[in-house]
Amino acid sequence: MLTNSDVLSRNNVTITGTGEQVLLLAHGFGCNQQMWRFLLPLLSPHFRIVLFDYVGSGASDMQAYNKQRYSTLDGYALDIIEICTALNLENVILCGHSVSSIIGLLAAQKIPQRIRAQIMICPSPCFLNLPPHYQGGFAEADLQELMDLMDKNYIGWAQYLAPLVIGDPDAGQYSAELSDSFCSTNPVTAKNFAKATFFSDYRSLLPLNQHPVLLLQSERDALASLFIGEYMQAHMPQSELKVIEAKGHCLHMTHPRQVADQIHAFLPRLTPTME
Amino acid sequence: MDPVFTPDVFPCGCLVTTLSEQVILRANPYFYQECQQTPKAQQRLSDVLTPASKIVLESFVMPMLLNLGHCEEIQLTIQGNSGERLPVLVNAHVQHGDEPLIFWVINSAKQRDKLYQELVDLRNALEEKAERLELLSQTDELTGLLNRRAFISRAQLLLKQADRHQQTCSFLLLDIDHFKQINDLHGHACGDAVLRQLGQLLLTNCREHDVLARIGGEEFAIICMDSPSDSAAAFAEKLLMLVSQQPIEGITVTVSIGVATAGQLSFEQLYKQADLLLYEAKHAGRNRLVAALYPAEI
Repeated sequence: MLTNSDVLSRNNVTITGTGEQVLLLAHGFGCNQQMWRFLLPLLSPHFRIVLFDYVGSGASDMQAYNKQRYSTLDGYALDIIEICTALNLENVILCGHSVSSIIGLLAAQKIPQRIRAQIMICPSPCFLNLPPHYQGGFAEADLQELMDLMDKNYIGWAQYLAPLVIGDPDAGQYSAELSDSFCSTNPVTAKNFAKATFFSDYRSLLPLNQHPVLLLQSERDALASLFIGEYMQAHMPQSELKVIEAKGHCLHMTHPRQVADQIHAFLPRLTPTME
Repeated sequence: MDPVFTPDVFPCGCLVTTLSEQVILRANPYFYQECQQTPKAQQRLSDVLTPASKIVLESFVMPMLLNLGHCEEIQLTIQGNSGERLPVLVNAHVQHGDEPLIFWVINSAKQRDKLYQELVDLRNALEEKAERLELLSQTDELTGLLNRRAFISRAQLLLKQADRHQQTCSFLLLDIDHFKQINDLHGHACGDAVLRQLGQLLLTNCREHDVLARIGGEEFAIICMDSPSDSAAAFAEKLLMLVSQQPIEGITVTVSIGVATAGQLSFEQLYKQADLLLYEAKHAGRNRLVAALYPAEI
């Protein structure tokens, strides 16, 4: 049982922008809300923007971390649901990067009445190759290697043995230091997030979508190929796909102008909200 | 530039790429030797990496470079032309200009990777052991429920939470009636079976947030936050009925329950009150409950 202010501090929620329309920006795996900073100047005059870190990422409250809850994407979706409820947000446009698109979809199905539309930047419902009809881009062995590689990087990046020494992987005392270094979050939480992200298959969720969705893809993305964008568009009602003339997986950081233009162009296509 | 002091002579991979897709613009011979490649037009750094390394590149390295402008000591794996895998250590920084560029230095990390693998294995083994020990230290061996120590720490958390939400908590202390007789008449194996099965019965009937434990020989405790719809006394009543209606090992088992409900008592105070109420229930003839609200009635 958390109070509203518990949720807001737990998820390091920040609110900015001067517009009427609420836009909730959800960061992807490996990062935190700072990844939106290139896009913020282009959006904040037009939106009331809600930013947050998932529990286990960025400057969230590591004490609130629960390994089991955050071992599937539903746990992360619950963060979004609790934030929307705590702030009593209505008519929200959910904008997620990469895995947060699917997390947003999970959340939108639980609280459809609060959601107006979704914007998905470089999304993928499943990163695994499941022949013959689906090419997520990665074999199971690749993703096992990812876990291994993350381990090896965390030896250098974070206090790899600290959770063992301290005995409590969620101890708040060293999480503060870790949150200072961008993208190098707690090794325990990051690996759990990686497993939830890369070993899951949420394709069955797509046909259940109930909101207008804008899919933004890049021409070439090592994590989400054009095939995936087309697959999502074909299987998700009310979705439209826009391919941005750019390459890479972090369009909102490398091409914020083009992403912002697409968001602005998407709005008038939505039916007006009932006020 | 001094012809001796060029990137070509250094025993590390040096390369310059574009920012947005890491297309290799220049690289020294050492880099091509390391990844067993020959220079090609429009070759990207990710072309020589394993799929897992591409994920690390897109999820960690690029966001870091875009946000901070540099990254240090990132381990990636290069996949050579012949399929051979080479662990490497990568440093990079971004140079902004008309066309932003990334300057990379890539070093072999074969030896370091071996050491890291040993550390990873060791840590995983230790972690598993620690988890097992932690579980063991909280569990009552016979019933599989929480033990007394774990109960006290969970109960204290619950009381704190209840205090914050200005809610009352109830402490149910259950004791099996005439347990010594069960042991004496039917043997200790039977007594143990009674404890185990009663534990399971309580577990299946507790609500999600209730904390249940075996805290003594034949003594069980439940602590719960009160809800207006479901009073602790009614819950205890239900337990009394369930226990007495289901013979265990062919024996009719009954329990006595003390139910102390309070808003602002400490764990010790609440425990003590529940204990007194349990004593009253025993004294009044067993197979019953005595409930009281504190401090209203003190």
